[in-house]
Amino acid sequence: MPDLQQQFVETYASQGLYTVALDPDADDYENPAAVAAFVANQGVTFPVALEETAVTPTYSTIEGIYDGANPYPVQILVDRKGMIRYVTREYDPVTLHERVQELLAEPP
Amino acid sequence: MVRSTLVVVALVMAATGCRGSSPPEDATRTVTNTVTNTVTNHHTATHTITEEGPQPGRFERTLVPLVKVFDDKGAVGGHGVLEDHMHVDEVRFREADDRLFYCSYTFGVIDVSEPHDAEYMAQGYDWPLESPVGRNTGCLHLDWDDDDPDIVYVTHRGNYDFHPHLSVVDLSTTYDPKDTLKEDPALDPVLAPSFFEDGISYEGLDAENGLVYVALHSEGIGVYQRDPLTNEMARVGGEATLIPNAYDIEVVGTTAYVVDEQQGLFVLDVTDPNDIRLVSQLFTGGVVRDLDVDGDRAYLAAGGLGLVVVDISDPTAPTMVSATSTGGTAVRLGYDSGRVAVAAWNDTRVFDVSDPASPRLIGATRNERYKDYADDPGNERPDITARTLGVDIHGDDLFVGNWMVPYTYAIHEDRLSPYMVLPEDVFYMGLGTVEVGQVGSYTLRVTNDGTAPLTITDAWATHPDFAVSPASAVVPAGDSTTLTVSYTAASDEPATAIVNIVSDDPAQPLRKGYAVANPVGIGIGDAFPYTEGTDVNTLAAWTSDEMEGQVGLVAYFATF
Repeated sequence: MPDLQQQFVETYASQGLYTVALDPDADDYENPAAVAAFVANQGVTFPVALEETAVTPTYSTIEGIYDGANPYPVQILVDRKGMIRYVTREYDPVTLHERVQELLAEPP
Repeated sequence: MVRSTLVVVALVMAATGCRGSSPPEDATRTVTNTVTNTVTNHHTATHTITEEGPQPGRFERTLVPLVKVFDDKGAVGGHGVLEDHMHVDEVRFREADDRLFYCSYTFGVIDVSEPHDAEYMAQGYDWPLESPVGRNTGCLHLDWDDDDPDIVYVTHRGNYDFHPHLSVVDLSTTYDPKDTLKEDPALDPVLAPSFFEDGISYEGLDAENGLVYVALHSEGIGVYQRDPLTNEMARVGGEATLIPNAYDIEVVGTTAYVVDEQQGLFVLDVTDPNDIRLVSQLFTGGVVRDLDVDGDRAYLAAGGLGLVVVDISDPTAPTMVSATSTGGTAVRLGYDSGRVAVAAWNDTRVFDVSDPASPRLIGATRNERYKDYADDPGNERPDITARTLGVDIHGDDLFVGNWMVPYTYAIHEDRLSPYMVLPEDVFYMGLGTVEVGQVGSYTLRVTNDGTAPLTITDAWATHPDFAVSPASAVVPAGDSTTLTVSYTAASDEPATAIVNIVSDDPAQPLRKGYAVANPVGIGIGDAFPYTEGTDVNTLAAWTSDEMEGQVGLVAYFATF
């Protein structure tokens, strides 16, 4: 998350990139304070939320298309029209930069 | 059948580090593949290899894998538990006794006196800290004082459900492993009770001067001392106001070099542990989490900025000498004899830093996480990248720790070879919804981060309605090209293909990707579904409506 903060939020937020971190781990649902403590020291300014997949199963649906992959991290890019344009498991900042720039360059 | 033979040959070469692809003798061959696909059902694809394109070079691996340290010998020492999913965070080589120490979900020691025959001396130790969800309370960092090598200090920053801890491991006792395969006495580590302080989170550390210096994130640095009779730790000093987020520390004499995750390098005078003073600070950029100091140079693992070299010949005025991309995000590094090895998350890279202003890549290596599809062959997908988190180097020996286990490699600096880098989304190339009769496409960037030209001799897809173009290409060292994966829809049913890229990269003669068109569920081209959650700081509801009209980056993460 510090890498996301520095490489993406601080670079692109002013250009219209909205960043959110979602924790869908069922172990964490009942203890948001502990998760808040976990991220408190990481210098993030973007929202961090718990996603209960029983309520909105976005993560579990995405996870289902990635057989054999590590469960985390996952990054999804959504364009201004709300369409999914990029999904990746693991962290690939080089490609993520390219894709963010492509989407920001598209007309609103 | 022919395809199977080609694949087996390629894998054997990868495992042995022998020659790369040789120019085939036949000018044109036609290969018939039988592919089972759960979505499109059983079908037959005809693949024609036309060899009018560039011919492959002949290369040997620069970084030759020796041992994936996981076999029956691993049961020696420790709790006798073989582990293959260790999440290795740190590996540290000790020259005095040829031991490799590691921190992972557990702690252990490996005899690497013969790197090609590395054996566990102790494995599977963790600390009895309460974890409501049963997570292993292993370690993230370790160090020892050369004056007392049987004592190893370890830290863990803590986690969602267990305490941060600073702990001592006593390696002075051994036992006779009568029931094991190993003939020599095995280590019998004794774990001293863990040390805690309220509100303190322990990260990188250095044992020097009879003391233990620890990076404490927002609490700066702490200085600790071990009671030699009880192995209990006590706080004897520290400084909490100078450094916003201390991540690692190395002490040379009375000078401490500390990296701050966001602010770069701090130089401190630690002559008096209770009166630590700032000497200088250098903002480097990047997300800095690890450093190694040698003489007048400090080497920093700086996240997306890569490998940073700092001149510290004048500690009062350190200067940044260079910043070199490591492809992924640099998280750990190790220095020895003019070389730096970097754990860069998606791979490991070794640099010659004899010219600190211009580190030269010697070689790189990437691991995969294997999954067995023997019981489900029709649903086979490429093995994904295994994240690399720990690294150390000694002479021509390279030690790597990834999400799975430790590995040993031999470095052959005299060799030049290409090194293919594909974006991580190659494992799910979404072509979106493609109407019948229409063509959907995906642009795949292929980069050569190696030291010789990369020749792609064949790029093809297992499904007959998918195509890859061009099928061959030459990519100069340091350059990149693009391949287009396309799908011509004969129906509106979901379709998938494994994309194969055959090249003369001796470490990766066959890279695979996974392409999906008309996906089941949600994927590229679909609307991001309404999603809601609870903000962990405000406890207010968060919904995906907050992204409306903006480009959204949704990052899923976990606290373990």
